[in-house]
Amino acid sequence: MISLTQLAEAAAATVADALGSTGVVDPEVRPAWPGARLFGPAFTVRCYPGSIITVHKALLEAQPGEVLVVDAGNDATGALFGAMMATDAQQRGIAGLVTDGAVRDTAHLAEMGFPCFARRVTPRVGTNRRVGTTGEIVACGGAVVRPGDYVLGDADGVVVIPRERAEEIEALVVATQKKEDDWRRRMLAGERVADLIGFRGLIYPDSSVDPSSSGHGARK
Amino acid sequence: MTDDALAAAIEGFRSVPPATIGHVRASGFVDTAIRAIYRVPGIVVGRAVTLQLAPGDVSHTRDALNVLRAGDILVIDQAGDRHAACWGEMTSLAAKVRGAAGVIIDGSCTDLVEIQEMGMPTFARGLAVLVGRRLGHEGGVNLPVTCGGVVVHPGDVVVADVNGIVVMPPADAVAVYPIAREYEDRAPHQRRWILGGGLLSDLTGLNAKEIEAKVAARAGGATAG
Repeated sequence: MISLTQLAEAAAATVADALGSTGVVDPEVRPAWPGARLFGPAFTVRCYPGSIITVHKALLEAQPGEVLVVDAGNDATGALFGAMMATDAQQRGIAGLVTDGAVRDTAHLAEMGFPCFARRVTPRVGTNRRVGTTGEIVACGGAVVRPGDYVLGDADGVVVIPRERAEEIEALVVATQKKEDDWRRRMLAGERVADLIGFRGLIYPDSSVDPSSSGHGARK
Repeated sequence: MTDDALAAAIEGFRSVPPATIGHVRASGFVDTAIRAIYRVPGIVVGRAVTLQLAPGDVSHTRDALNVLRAGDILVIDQAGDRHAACWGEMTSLAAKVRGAAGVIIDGSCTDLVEIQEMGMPTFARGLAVLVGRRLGHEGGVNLPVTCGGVVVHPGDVVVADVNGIVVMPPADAVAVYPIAREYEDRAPHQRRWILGGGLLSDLTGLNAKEIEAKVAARAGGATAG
């Protein structure tokens, strides 16, 4: 596995920009507790709708550092993950879990510091015992996730980085971070964000209506 | 899996509805919020051509129209957007002229009346009148997409009717077809049994032949006495 230390610490928003807004998981998939953050290669799980047992299968098969990406089969009525499973996962070094279904025990997950992202939180457990599949290409919150694709989640949501593009995306992210640091410095010195992005000419194609052209404020 | 077996399965699914596949398969069921936009007759079956769009952006739709072949089903992933329509009368007409069998949209479409009149089976999350623009964002044709929570690869087999939509990789479609066929073939015999006053619970686990034998035995018994 390549190291990707800078990508691991990047903001989901910066990664989304680098990806050109593909690979963004549905915004309904949210951190299960405030401050949850994860990064790692995906271990994919496809549940029979309502089936929690496939996530147990994944716990027995996933490797340390991997993120469980659980395709809930369009069923978010029962939790597919909770504190007992998180304890097992944490013990095994699993990096976290993302699902377009539901989880529960969120207070306990927060206390443990086990990062989870889910569409819903419910105390009801997913009960079906039909075993689904692991290690296949899955759909999670409208994103296609292949085993080994990198998953990053933070307060803004979850993004999926195709494994073969990870180093390219990391380089783009680092370049963006440098550019934004520069922009911050320039804004503190009075420049405007619309100018830095290059939007002013699109907003005011006719410079005579530009509120800055009357002489107030720094135009450039 | 041979091409012949796949062609036979695709032909066969024209008389095996998605709900019967729902008895024998566990995955590939598209979110129930994606529905036929009008009362589409019959069962729509075909191979998927996929189209990935960005929210509000229809830049790649024309490319998809250009690769559609007779019998294909266009599967559109609008990346979560349902506010702007990505499909309407003219795109539908172009697809129809190319012989497309149907269109499945994880998003919105417009021109319901025209699409219904031309008879292009269309399934979508909803209808909209704000229409997508060509914004030049990322996307493209025949990429793996998601549609109603299901991964769809180009060439996957799609079976759809007014009750819903199921997507299967070709090898799975070939494997599932005979099982689904057998299940479906019980239906006329089950109807005869029930209409003659029989209990559905008497038929649990029986195949078509066994059910028909029960129907015949009942009729024979009635005649004899």
